[in-house]
Amino acid sequence: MFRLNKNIISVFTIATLLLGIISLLWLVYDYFLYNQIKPVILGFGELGRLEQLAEFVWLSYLFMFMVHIIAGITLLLHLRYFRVIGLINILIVLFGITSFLAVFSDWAILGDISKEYEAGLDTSGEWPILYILLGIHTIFFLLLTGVSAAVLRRLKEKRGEEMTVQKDEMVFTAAQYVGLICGVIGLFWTVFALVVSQRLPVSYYHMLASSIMILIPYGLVVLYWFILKCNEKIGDWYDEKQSRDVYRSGFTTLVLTIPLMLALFLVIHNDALFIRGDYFWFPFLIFTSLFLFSLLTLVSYRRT
Amino acid sequence: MELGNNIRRLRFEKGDISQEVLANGVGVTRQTIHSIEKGKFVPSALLAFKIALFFDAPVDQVFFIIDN
Repeated sequence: MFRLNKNIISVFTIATLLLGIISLLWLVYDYFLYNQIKPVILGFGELGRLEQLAEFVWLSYLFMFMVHIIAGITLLLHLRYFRVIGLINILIVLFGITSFLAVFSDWAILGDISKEYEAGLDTSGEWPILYILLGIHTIFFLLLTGVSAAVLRRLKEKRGEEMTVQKDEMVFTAAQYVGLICGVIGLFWTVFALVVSQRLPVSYYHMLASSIMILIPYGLVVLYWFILKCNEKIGDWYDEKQSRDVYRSGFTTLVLTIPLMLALFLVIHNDALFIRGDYFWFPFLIFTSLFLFSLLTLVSYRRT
Repeated sequence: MELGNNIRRLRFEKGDISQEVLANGVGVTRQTIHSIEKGKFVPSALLAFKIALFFDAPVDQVFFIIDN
C-alpha cells in the first residue's frame, strides 16, 4: 500500500507555483527583448548592448525546460492525490506537452535567426513563429500557476483529512491519456516529416531525436508509475480488470499494426510512387502502437 | 447464463458505502467495482469472495446466476 504524503504534494505545488511565476516573468522579459531586437535584426543594425541581454534569453529557455519537468511531476502527483481528471487537466497536459516541445523549437529558431543575421539573410519568417510559441508558453504557465494556486487552496481545506490511495487508477488513466496524445502528435509528426523529406533532407538522427522528444512525456508518466509500483509485488501492479484490459488492447494493437505496417511497406517500396525515406517505418510503428494501445485500453477500461 | 449481483443494494444497506470505499477495501479500482456492478465484468472467484467478505455476507447472497 502506498500512502501519498500531503506534505510532499504541498512542497511540489508551492515550488511549481513559484517556478511558474518566475517563468512568466522570464516570458515578459523575452517578449520585451524580442520587441527591441527584432527591428535591429531585420534592419541589419548593430545589436550593441542588446547582444549581452539576449544571452539571458537562452538562460530563460533552459530555466523553462526544467520547470516543465517539475510541473509534469507535480501534475501527476495532483492526479494521484485528487483522482479526478477534468477539462482543465486535459488542457494543461495538452498545452504542457506542446509548450515543452516548443522549447526545442525556440532554441532552433533562435539559432537560425542568429546564423541568418550574421550571414546577412532575411529573418522575417521566423519572428511570427517565435511569438506564437511565446503565446503557447504563456498560456501553459498561466494555467499552471492557476491550477497550483487552486490546489494549494484545496489542500488547505483538506487539512487533517489524509487520503489513502490503494490502486493507482488515476496514474493508470493518466498514462493512457498521455500515451494517446503522444501517439497522435508522433503520428502527425512522422507523416509531416515523411512529406517534407520528399523535398528537403530529413536525417535519420533528426527523426530519431524528435521521436524521442515526443515520447518523453509518456516515458515520464510510465517512470513515475513504475517508481510507485516498486514497493508492490508484480502480481499487484494491476487489478484483474486492468490486466484484462491491457492484455486485450495489447493483442488487438498487435493484430491491427500488422496490416498497417504492410500497407506502409507497400507504399514506401512501390517504385511507381517514388517515395523516399526507408527509416520512417520505425517511428510510424512506435506511434501507431502507442496510439492504438492507449486508445483501446482507455475505451476498454471506461466502457466495460 | 450470466452472473448477477447485489453489490449496489448491499452498499446502500450497509450504510451508503461508496464504490471507492469498497474498491479500497478489496484492493481494486473504483472502475472495476463499477463494471462488476453493471454486470460488464465477471470477477475472479478470489475477488468475489473478497467482496462477500467485505459485506460480511455469503457469496451467494452477493452473486447469483441468471439463467437465460
